[in-house]
Amino acid sequence: MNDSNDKLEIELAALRPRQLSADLAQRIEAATRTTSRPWSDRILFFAMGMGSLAACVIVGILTFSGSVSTDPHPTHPLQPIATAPMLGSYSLILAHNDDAGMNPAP
Amino acid sequence: MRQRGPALVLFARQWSITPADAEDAVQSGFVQFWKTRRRARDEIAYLYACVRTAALDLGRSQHRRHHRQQAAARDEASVFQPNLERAERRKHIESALNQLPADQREVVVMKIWGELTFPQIAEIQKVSLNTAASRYRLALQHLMANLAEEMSYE
Repeated sequence: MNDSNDKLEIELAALRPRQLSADLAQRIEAATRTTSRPWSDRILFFAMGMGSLAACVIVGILTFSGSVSTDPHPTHPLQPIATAPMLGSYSLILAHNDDAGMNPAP
Repeated sequence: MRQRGPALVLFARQWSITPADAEDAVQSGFVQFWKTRRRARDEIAYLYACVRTAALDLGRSQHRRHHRQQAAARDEASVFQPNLERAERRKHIESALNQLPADQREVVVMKIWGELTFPQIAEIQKVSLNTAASRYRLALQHLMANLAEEMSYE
């Protein structure tokens, strides 16, 4: 029985199915080419895009903030908060104190 | 696809009335497979399952419309490559194949021309491995019985 099965299998296998028509091959190729990517791919590409964008923003912020704080030649120099005392100011203060010592309050 | 294509068309032909319907089913099934192939454990088995579903869907929708043309269309073109020396024999084999119960014919096509394994066939037909193997054995017995008049085995 097995032997006859084998013979039949060989005979069946010797019959080859018809080749694909050129039209079908072209249609399948076109259909698979235009088929949109699966959702998993879309999500992956979206995540990669967002990651790249975030990296660009971070690099931009760092570059911008570094240029402000390390500029050695500012175009508008900062004004001093308090002016240094001048030489004449000291003599006036001393004179004022001397007057106070000469005329004690009654 | 070029390697598997001919067997897939033959496979789809079982549920298709015309060769063009079988090709449409293969195209539809292959596109479905292509979109969702990442979910497949066994890509070949999944491809056959997609083509089977597409052919069944297409066959159901066209069955009523083509019912009258069915017999004529089946005879219109052989599913195998023509071989002048054995044309008569090929015709008998095709006829014997068409007489098989659908589930047995399906197994024979997948095993012989699709070169699928029994585990793959079992997965496609959603049956146990033993059922797939026994369907194949039964199919061969039926084929031999159908061809008995002209074949001399042993």
